Amino acid sequence: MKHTLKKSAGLAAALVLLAGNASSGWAQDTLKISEGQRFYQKVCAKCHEAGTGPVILGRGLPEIAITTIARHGNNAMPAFRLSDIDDATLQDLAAYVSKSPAPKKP
Amino acid sequence: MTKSKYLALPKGVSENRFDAAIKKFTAAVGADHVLTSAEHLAPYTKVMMAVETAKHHPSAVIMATSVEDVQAVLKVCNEYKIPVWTISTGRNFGYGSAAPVERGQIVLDLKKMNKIIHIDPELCTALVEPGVTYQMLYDYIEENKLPLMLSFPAPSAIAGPLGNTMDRGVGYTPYGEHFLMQCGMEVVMANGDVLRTGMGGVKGDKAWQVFKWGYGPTLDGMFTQSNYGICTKMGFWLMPKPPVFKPFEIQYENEADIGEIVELLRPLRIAQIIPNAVVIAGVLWEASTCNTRRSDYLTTPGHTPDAVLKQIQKDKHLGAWNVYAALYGSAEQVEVNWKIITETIKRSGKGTLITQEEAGDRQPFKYRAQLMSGVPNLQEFGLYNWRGGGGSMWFAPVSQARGGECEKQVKLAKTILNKHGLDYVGEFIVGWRDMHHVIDVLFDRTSEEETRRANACFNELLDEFEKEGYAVYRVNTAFQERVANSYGPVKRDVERKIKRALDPNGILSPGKSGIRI
Ligand SMILES: Cc1cc2nc3c(=O)[nH]c(=O)nc-3n(C[C@H](O)[C@H](O)[C@H](O)COP(=O)(O)OP(=O)(O)OC[C@H]3O[C@@H](n4cnc5c(N)ncnc54)[C@H](O)[C@@H]3O)c2cc1C
Repeated sequence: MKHTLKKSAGLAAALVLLAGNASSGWAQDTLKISEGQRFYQKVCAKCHEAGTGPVILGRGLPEIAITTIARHGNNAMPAFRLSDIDDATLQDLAAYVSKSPAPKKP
Repeated sequence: MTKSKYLALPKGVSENRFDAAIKKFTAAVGADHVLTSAEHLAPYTKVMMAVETAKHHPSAVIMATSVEDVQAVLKVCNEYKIPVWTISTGRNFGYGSAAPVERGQIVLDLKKMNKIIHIDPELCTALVEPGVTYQMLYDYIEENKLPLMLSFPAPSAIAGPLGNTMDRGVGYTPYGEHFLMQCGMEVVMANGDVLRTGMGGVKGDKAWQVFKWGYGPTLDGMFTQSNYGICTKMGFWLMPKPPVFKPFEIQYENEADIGEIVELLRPLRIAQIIPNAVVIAGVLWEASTCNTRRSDYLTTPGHTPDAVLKQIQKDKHLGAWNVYAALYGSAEQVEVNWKIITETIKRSGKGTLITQEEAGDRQPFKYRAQLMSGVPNLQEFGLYNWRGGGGSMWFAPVSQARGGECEKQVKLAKTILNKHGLDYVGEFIVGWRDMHHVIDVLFDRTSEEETRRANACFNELLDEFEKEGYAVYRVNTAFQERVANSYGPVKRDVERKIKRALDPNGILSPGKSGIRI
């Protein structure tokens, strides 16, 4: 069975195709940051740097605490599935968060 | 119950038989895509509802990466009579999250099918797979500098258009009634057939994403909030980004003002002078989305007294009701409509208008403006911090957009919630002629006693509102059977007949919206 869509000639220029990348599905941006850090910025930061969730950067939190809470959720925090973030990316994210320096005071 | 190596088993399926089915699923989609360990299933069990978590435990999760995977999974499900609950981005918070409606169903997780198949910036259409999130679309639109704007629900950064539209969710731009903006679906039927709705079945067609109706019966609607098929592609319309976007807020001092507000705004909304869904948010919704916690004010259990609500309103510079809407268009169009709005408010002698310039970076104005202009954020999760404890069930009765309806519903809801020691945390979303009165029944799920109260409260809300002729537009999985009854026996009977015809083994999400064979 054929599932790909045919592009029409006239619209070819307007049509764009984007295949998600393996772990997050986001388009690659130009910043050279790791997948884990990218996930932190795109998702985690939206609560953890907005006062909704506690600050988690720069506190030397144990990696295991980060991965466990990410998979189970906690109070307001959703649980993140293997299909949202694979184990390797989550591990990378946990290492990034755990080792991040304390944020500069404004 | 004998101990099983599975977290749960599908109803009527023995462990041996399930072992055999798992083997076949594994052969079909690969071992990496079949999850059965308690550890891997954990994120599919955070239900937030006021019922036992175990009632919604899945038996396994299968991650599909293609339409062929979906077909192969259904083949095994039919052979072994395994019920399968489908999720797309699986962020149905307050409605059951990613967990199945019934214990033991397998979850078919489509998050890895995450291609943006096309975006057409001239016709302003998109075609996406189930796992595409609004954040992915936003990034794509930004990176390619496309003159388009998204409409999404509040958990925008992590939810997606396909799942949200399948559950008939709503957003906050002029395209906020998402199912209205949907155009063309690809659906895998229980027998593995792949149906394309609208123009999608016509060989060589190019109009799938631009003409909704096709020919003969229009089928798209029957696949939403139902269990008649698995949607694997969805088309929808995108709004062109307007040259000028002008969000505004109107604050009202008193709780009793709600009726007048709706009477004042309805004509502007129906005439499209205000083109997006007008939100009228109560004080606690506002307070919690600017990081206010109940424990900042009270440590005693029970509902929050009115005097404290007034204090919070004063401290946080909020209204008892806070209206949000926006204008979109050219500078001239916006200017004319702004004049109509300011004059209408002035004439009414009530309400304080606040513009973006006045609000600056202040929450909750900032996230409201982002929601109305298609910028993803997660600020509304602040609701869950109000009481804490992770319990949440949306109670969302629908009514006519009339002032009298608001007053009646607020009074009824608040009385019932307070009786059960819970708070009224609500907002009205004025669609076009209708209103969704969205109330977050928030409770501490770590307390068994409070969870029991929340359950009793939700039942009473449904019962008492039904007596007044109101029903909800959508509900969490623990109450779907109950709510199906509100809509009458004939509808249920027709739905069951369709179910039996399309899915004779009853494998697709049995129990969704109360529909079974
Ligand atoms: C703070 C907060 C605010 C919220 N605000 C809003 C809001 O403004 N508007 C709103 O609508 N919701 C809101 N929600 C509820 C919910 O989070 C969103 O509706 C969200 O978009 C739903 O999750 P999803 O998009 O991941 O869809 P999913 O969870 O993937 O799908 C939703 C349901 O649709 C069905 N379904 C999914 N995929 C398929 C498929 N491929 N085929 C057939 N059926 C399918 C399933 O029954 C599934 O349970 C809010 C939640 C929170 C926590």
